[in-house]
Amino acid sequence: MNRMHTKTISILLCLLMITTAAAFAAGNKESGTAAKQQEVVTIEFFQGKPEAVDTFNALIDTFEQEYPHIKVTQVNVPDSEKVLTTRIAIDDIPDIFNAYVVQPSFKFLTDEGYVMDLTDKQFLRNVNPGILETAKYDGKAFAFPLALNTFGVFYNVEIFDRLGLSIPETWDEFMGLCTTLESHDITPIVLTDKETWTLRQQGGVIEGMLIGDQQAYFSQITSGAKKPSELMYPRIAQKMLELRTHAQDQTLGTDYGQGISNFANGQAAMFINGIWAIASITKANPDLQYDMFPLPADKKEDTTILSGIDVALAVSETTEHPEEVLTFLEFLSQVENAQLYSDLDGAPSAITGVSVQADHYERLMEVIDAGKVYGWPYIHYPLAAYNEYAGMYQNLIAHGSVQTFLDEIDSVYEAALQQ
Amino acid sequence: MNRTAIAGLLSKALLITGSLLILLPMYVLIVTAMKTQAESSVSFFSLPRSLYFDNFLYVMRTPFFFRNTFNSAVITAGTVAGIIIFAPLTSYAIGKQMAVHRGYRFLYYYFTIGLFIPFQVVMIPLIKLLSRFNMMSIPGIIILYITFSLMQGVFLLVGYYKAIPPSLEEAAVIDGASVIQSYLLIIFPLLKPMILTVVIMRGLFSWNDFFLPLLMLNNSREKWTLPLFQYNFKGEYLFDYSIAFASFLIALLPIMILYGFLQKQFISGLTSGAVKE
Amino acid sequence: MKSQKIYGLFVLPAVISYTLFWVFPVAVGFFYSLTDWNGIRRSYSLIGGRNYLRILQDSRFLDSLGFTLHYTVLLVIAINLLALVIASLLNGRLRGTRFYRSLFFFPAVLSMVTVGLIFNQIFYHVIPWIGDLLQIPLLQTNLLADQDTAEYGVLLVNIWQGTAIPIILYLAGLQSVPKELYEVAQLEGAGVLQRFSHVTFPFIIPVISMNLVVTLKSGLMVFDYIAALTDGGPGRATESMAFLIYTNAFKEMKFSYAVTESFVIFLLITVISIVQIRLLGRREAHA
Repeated sequence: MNRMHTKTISILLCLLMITTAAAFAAGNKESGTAAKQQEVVTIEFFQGKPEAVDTFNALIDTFEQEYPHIKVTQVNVPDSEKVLTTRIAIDDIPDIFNAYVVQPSFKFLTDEGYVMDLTDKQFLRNVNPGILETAKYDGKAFAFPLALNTFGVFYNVEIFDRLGLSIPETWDEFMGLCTTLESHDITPIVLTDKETWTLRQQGGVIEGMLIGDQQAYFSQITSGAKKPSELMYPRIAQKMLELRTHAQDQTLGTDYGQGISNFANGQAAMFINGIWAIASITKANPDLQYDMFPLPADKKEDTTILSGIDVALAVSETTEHPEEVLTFLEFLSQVENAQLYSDLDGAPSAITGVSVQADHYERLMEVIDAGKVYGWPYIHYPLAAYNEYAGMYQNLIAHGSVQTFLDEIDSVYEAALQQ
Repeated sequence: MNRTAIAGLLSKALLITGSLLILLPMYVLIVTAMKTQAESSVSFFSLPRSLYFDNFLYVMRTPFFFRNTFNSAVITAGTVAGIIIFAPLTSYAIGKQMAVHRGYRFLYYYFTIGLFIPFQVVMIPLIKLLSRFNMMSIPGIIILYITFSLMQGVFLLVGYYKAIPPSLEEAAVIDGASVIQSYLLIIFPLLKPMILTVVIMRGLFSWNDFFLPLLMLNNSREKWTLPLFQYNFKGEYLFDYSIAFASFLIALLPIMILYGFLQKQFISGLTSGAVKE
Repeated sequence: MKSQKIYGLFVLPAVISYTLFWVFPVAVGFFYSLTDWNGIRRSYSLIGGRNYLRILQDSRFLDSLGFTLHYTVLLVIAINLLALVIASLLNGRLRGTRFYRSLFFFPAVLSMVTVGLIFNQIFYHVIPWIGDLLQIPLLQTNLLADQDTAEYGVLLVNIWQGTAIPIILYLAGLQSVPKELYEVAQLEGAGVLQRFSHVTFPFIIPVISMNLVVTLKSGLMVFDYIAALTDGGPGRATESMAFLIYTNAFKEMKFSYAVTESFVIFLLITVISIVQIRLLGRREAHA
């Protein structure tokens, strides 16, 4: 009796294990045969911008018609940076991926040889040379810039018209405008300080406008010649705080989605963010009349504007299909295709010869076209410091003390430079 | 008499307060899901003006909704089945033998100590291992969920088993039952309430988990689970809570139905005093 | 002898899969903690215990440890007290207990994504609204927006959801107390508290112990609630250990250091749990 049961149980357990093993085997076989049946090369395109999925699908459709032997699978996941890090750790790097070239972590990937050097590739000639330069590390291009972004102040046209307000051209005019709005019981600005990335960007934008030549500026810090507190950070911190005096209460409790919703529904007259917010604002309130103006500098003629890389595509060094991958990038770099991207996405293009509609941000484009631009300064932050910025700005806002902020940033840089 | 009445009133008051605190977020969830975006941004707290179901339809019409829900259901069902088979079996052997056998006492600590290791340590090595074994798939994730349930399962079930009077099992052995018979006929039914607790805790975990599917099933939307689907929704419509909340309510529905069925067994089964002497 | 083999067979599949998919990765993780691997580099070198020594001087780690301990103490006390009180109420013969039992379990059903989004909205809209209505200054603000109150905001949500399962476990424990003993105690004129400490308590010690371990673990390893509600902020006001580990590993490319931090928490939890189980074990009723 006993022995029989032992047997039954062992058989059952074995069966269970075999079934599981079989399930795996079956799963593998399936994918194996599927790949063989179609004589088509499949390449994986991994990107982390959910709002760009439809745009890329449209481009991929056109591409696949032109090159029927190449199939492009677009993969878009939430939390894409973490997924990409894990996939790199397990050596399963997507053939093409959307690279955050302006963040210091991308340099880790290029240093380790995970990313293909594209410097000599023909299609990079289609990219605006100035922009290509900002995507290079040590003179080498590891990514192909496709689309750009810019940053400024969104304003509610209806409120401005009703109160007869005009677009501020200097920082003081901007602050004065806020006071006027307050006297009409309107919250001037909604700020989304709970969202660390918007805070870091806002600091970066103010910084970029103040410092001019970034390379020279940051080499003063990294060489140890100057402490951050001896450079522009006192002024940056002061401006950050000044903005908060004209924002809603408890900015640290407002996230990006909430900020968009508040601005779109007229609960604040202005909202400071990048042009990627346009699609969301319009979706949140299709009837809203709004536009953007450049965040003004202290003097009118000093106003410059951020022109950063929004989408840049990098290629895995170990891709099995380099030829097909490069064909796809080449396709994207052609003016008519880049134009299609820009039309669908609404963002300015990095490709020479593509015109952009610039709905809602014509005023920013005027400044950009005049060549008064700068790129994201983060690229110069040491990685260890980069991750601290948002927290430091949140502390600044919470305590309201410029001095505490300066002490903190000095010690953060000291620690980061030691590493 | 008077004191009992006051105590009764007090407990009632406490329970009602507690219920309100639990219901408030639910109210927010349901009400928001049934408003248009414009409506909820104007007055967040009010009742919807009409019964508005477009948000739900919108969620269901999003590509891969049914596919992803189905995947989640398969994963959860597989996990639950695995837990029911392996967790009590393992715990029974450990619980029974740990008093007499050092190896089993070791096993008890071996399993429970795993509870205290943060997942972050394991993650990268684990994912590397899984990709080498070709286990970045739905069956692979089921095996992981079952395995991870063992830590909590052994911890809770061994504790519960030890509270079962040994006399019950001894009686069966005297009657000539084999180990397997006494396990299936006596121990398993007695463990049922705690098995159900573990199943519900871990089943809910596998249904709601975001992290593992994100790391293991990311390379095609067909393989996604419902939480990935929802999270992506959150990213895409970040200003529009109405749609996100509608998607949460839809994900709740299958659980609520199952809960309705299991509720009698679960809550009353667990508390029916199975361990009474 | 024969039955020995059966027991071995019973545990075999579990031991194999657990060793392979949990213990082995932990061992590999431990190995990484002795290196300087950053998570993506192809090569690394062994640096012995240097990561462990560095941790002890890392003020960010120590701050986060302090936060986590404070949070855990409050969480463990609040959840266990609340769960025990509610379970005792539900264990009585009140009308509608069945309904309440389902209701109090309900928060456990929701996913973290759901809870995070709902409560962000509640902190933003609903609590300030109630605060205005009742004129309570503390509630008129968004708890998550202030460095001094963010911890309590997160705690509130964690308690809201985390009490559900302990209630169920306590209910099961309470049911195991023989009813006759209560009657005897009542005849002897024991008050509610006396009855609890002399009759109920010794019987539910195993359940208390289970719940303490489970809530202790969830407090010391809190990650989800932080990620969903505050992202460790404002500033670093709510940077828990698990959140710090995550940030170090995935954002700051300090993988081996993050793993080292994990082992330090692991040691901490294990020691606290063992002490706690030992202490309670002495008072256990041997039925």
